[in-house]
Amino acid sequence: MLGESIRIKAEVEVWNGRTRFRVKHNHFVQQALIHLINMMTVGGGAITPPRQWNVYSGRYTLRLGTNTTTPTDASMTTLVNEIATEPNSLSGANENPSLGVVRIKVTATWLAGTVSGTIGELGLRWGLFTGLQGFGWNPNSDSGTKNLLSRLSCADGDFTQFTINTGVPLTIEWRITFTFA
Amino acid sequence: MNVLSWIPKLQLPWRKRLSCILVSGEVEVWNGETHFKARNHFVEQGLIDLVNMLTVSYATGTLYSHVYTGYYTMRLGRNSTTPTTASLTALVDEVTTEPNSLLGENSNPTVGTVRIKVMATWNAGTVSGQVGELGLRWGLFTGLQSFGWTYSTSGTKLLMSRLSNADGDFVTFTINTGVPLTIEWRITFTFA
Repeated sequence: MLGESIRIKAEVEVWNGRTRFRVKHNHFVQQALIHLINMMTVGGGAITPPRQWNVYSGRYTLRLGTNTTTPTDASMTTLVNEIATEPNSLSGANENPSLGVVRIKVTATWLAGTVSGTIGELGLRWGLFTGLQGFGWNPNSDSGTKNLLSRLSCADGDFTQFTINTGVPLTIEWRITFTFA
Repeated sequence: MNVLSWIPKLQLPWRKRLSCILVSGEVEVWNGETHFKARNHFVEQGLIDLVNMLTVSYATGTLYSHVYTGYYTMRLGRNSTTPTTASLTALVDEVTTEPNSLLGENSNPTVGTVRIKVMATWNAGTVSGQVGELGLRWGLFTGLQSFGWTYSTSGTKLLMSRLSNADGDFVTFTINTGVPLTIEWRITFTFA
């Protein structure tokens, strides 16, 4: 039946020279769920000084990690063994390609030679309000910075670990799609 | 049967763990002897608002939205023949009488489940007639915003989801005006 549920699903695509794969899901964590209902139950009020949330520059990013053995669990708040190197470029877009489909797309690129090693996990980080707020709360505060929203990992069977080809860029596109289910 | 064909299926529950978030709405109605529970139908502007709220970057000034007092409500409607479509923005034949009381609550009953609960009550004698549709209205941002947009004051009482006789969700009922009419709308976010 139309619209009985909304399904929030993600797809991740990775390009690094000959390494190229697409995973048609990711693993969301608990603090993402909490943030969603926080944002849906904002009330309002005076917001001073100006506040930064979600995808303000410096509050969201993509991260790489080297762990290959720990599956994702709902209470996870960071990658298990994260590489701190930020992407050289990061951008996002909202799309509404058809009725009943709305999408957030985030693209990150590390330039050739910027980062190296073997990758076993990927993370999408967002400026989240990770603690459950009251219904009608006044969002007069900054969100967290670069909190884990979802993860992809070898240990979950999502992809096979790969060694970064440092002679070419590494690009990741993370697409979160909202549809009726 | 080809053995290889079922290996991926065995792996599926593992691979798909936490892979989706499912947002569902359950509605419960009490009015004297009338009591039922049903699932709702979200509309397109509910989807769009979710994406908008996840991609706000900046907020400043005095701003109201979503469930600020006067920005959300529940509504009753008479229509019993028009099913819900994604593009619906109002009940088809809405009764404008507001509930006498309205309140909401956020909860996190278990890891992997978070819930918004909204309860509306019309006192005995406040509203009458036949009811064929119910609507949850929210202070939504109905137009798709750009990634990183600046938060502002939202619209007021815009349709987020609907329940109707025409969708087979419940059977049209006549309000018993001698007792209160209470509706509880529970929106649950879970992993799927």
